[in-house]
Amino acid sequence: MNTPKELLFKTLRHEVTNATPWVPFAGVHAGKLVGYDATEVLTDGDKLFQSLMEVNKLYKPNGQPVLFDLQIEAEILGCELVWTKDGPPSVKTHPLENTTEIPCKCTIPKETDGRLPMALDVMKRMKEAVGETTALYGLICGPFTLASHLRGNEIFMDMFDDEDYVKALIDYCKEVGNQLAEYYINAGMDVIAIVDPLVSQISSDHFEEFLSKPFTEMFDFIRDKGAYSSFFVCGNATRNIEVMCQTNPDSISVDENVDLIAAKEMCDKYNICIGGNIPLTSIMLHGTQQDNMKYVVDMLDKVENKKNLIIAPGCDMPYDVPVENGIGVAQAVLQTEEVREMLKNYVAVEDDIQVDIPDYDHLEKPLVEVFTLDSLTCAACTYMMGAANVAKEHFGDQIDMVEYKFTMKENIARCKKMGVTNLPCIYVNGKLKFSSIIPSKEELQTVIEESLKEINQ
Amino acid sequence: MTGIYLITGFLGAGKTTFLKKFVRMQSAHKMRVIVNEFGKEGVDGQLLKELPIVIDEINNGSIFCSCRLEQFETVLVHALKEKPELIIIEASGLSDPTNIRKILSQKDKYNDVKLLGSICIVDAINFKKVISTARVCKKQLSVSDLVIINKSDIATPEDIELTNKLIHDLYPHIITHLTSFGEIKEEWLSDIDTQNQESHPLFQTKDLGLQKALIQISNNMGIYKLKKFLEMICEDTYRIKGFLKFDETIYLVDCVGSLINVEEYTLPLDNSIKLNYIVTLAGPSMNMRKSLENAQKWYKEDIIDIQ
Repeated sequence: MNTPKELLFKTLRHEVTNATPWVPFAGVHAGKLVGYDATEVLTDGDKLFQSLMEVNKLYKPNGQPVLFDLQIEAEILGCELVWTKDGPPSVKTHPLENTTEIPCKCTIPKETDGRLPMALDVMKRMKEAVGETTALYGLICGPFTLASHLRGNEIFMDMFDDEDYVKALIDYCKEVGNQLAEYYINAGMDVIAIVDPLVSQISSDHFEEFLSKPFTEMFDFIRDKGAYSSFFVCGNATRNIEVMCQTNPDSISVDENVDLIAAKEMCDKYNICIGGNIPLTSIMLHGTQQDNMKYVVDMLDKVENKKNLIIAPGCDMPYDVPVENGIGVAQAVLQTEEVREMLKNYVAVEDDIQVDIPDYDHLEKPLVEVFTLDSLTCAACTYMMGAANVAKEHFGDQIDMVEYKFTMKENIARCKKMGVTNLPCIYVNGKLKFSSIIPSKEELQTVIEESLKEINQ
Repeated sequence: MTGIYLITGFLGAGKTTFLKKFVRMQSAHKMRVIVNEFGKEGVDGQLLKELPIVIDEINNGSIFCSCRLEQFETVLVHALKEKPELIIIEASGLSDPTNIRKILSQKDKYNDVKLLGSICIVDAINFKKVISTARVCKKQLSVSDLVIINKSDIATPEDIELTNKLIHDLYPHIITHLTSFGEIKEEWLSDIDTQNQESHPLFQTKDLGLQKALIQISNNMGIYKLKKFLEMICEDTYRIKGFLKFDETIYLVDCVGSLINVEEYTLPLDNSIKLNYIVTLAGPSMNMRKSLENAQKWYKEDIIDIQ
C-alpha cells in the first residue's frame, strides 16, 4: 500500500524511494496547536491525543512521536521533576546520588506505573485513529541519560573510578528501556527511538567502552520484537556518529550541530538512515515560513543520494514554533518542486506586477480571502479552504470568497503587497483573522457575522 | 553598557557557592543574575533579602544546549531591558559555554553588552576524573579567562598539583587561583582585564613535546564544512591558525581550544603566507593526530594533505 507510513518504512528498510519521508518531532509543541501548555500535554491523555491529532492533520507526517518526554522512566524510578509550561520537565533529584547499589530488577517499571497508563492509552488511540497511514514513534530514554538521571553528575566520576559499576547501572537502564520498548510495541508503536542526548558529552572511546554493547543489544531487542529502531542524539555528536552506526540501529537522528551531508555519507557506509536536522531555534522558531521552506529545499538539493534520508527537526520542536513554519516544512518535503518554484518567484516577483487591492473600506458585502500554499496539496491549506467553503455555503451570496494560491506569481505579488507572510490564512475585509490554525465553523461564522453587521450599519 | 560575567564549571564543582560570594563582591552594581535550576542549593533566600538583585531562572537545565538556546536568549533579552550594569550568568554544568560567545557576538542584537570575563570553577578533587570523561570540561576551560580551583581545604597537595598540570597541559595560558568554599579575591578579576588586553598571548615558552600539523585545505571546502571540520579537531588542540581563500574572499582562522573563530580578513597579506593551509598545535598528551585522522574521514575530498 502506498501510504505515507509505507514510504517511511521503505526508507527504514533502506530501499530506494521516489520521495523523502518527514517526521515532525512535535512533543510539547503539539499542545500549542490546540492551546494546551507543555505540562497539560504531557500529563493529560485526552489533551495529548487531541494535540497529536492536530499535528497529524496540519503537518501531514509520514511518522510522528506520541510522547516526547525523556523523564517518564526517571519519574517512575524516583526522580523528582520540575515542570514548566513551555518545555518538557527536567529532573531535579537523583535517587542513586549517594549509593552505588544497582537497583533490583523488580523495580523495572510496570505498565501501571507513573504516566505509563496514559502513554500506552494514547498510543493505542493514536494507532486506532491514524495508524493505518502514519508510522508512530515510541520514545524511550537512552540508558546513559537514564543512568545520569538516577545517579546525577557522579556518573562522570564513576566512569573514571568504577567502570564496572557504571556498566552495571547502564545495563539496568538498558533493561528498563527494553521493557518500555516492549510495552510501546505492544501498544502499536512502529518505531522505537532510543533518545540519549548525553551521548554527545562523551568521547567515542568512552562510547565504545560503556555504550556500544547495551545499545547494540537494545536495537537487537527492538528488531526481534518486529519494530524499527532509531537512535536520537542531540548536541555535537559528530565524533560519535560512526560508533553509533556500529550499534546497528535502523536510523539515526541528529540536530543542527552535525553536518548532515557529511554524516549521511558516514551512515551510508553502514547502510543506516539518517534523519534531521532543521535548526530548532534559528530556523524553526525564529525563521519565517519561507526560511523554513528554503532550508528544506536546499537540504534536499544538497543530499545527492536520497536513499536512507528522513527530514525532521533537529530534536523536540520548541513549544512556540509558529505553526506556519511546520506547515511550510511539510509542504517543502511533500511538494518540493512546487515550493522551489514559489521561493524563486517570491524572490524574483516584481513589485510592479499589477495587483488590484480591493477597497476594503467600501465593500458591499464581506470579502473572505483565503491565502494558501496550495489547497490541493498542503493539508493545512486544504482544511483552511474547507472551513472557508463551509462558511460560503452557509452565507451564500451574502459574502464573497476567493482563494489565492501561492503557486501563482500574481498571488505572490498580492501577498507581498498586502504583507501576508504566513500561509495558510484567512483575511476578512482585508484584516488577518486566522493564521495557520484552522478556525472552527462557529469561529469563522462569528467573524463573518460581525463583518456583516459592520457593513450593514 | 551592560557587563557580563559568565560562570562555568562542571556539575558539583561549587559554582553556586562561588556565585553567592561573587554576587556579594559585585553588590555595588545594579545587577541581575541568570541561573539555571539544577543547582543543589539555590541562590535565593538570605542573599536575595540582603541585596537588591533580580534572579532570572532558566528552566530545563543546559542553558547553552542548542535546543534550549532560545530560552537563554529570551531570559537575556528580558534581563537587558532593565539596563543593569552587570549580568552574572551561571551556566549549567553540562552546557557548552562556547555558545554564549556565538549569542553575544550577534552585534545587531547585543551591541550594548560586553563580556567582562569567563570564570571557570574547578573541583580540585574530581577534576582529573571529569576532564577525562566529560567533553564539556574542555569547552568550559577553553572559554575561560580565569580558573578557580576550588575545594583546596579537602584536596591533597597531589590532587591540586595534578589539577593544575592537567589544566595547563590543555591551556597553558590560563590563569589559575586556588581557593576553598568558592572564595574569590578582588585582585583576581584584574588578571582578566590584563589578559583581555593582551588578547591571549600564547606559546611564549618552548615546549619540546608540542605537536604540530600542517593541513592543506581544498579551495572548494567552503566556510560551513571548514567550521564543522574545526569543531571535530579543536578540542584536541591548543591553537589552530591559518588563512584561507574561498570564492575570492580571504578568511582568517584563529581558534583557541574549543573557541572557533573564522572571520573575513581584509588587510593586505604578506607574500610569505601560504593560503589554504592551517597549522594546528597541541600538547604532548592530546589526541590531535587521531582527531585529525577521524575528521579527515568525514571531509576526505576537502582535506588534501596533513603533514
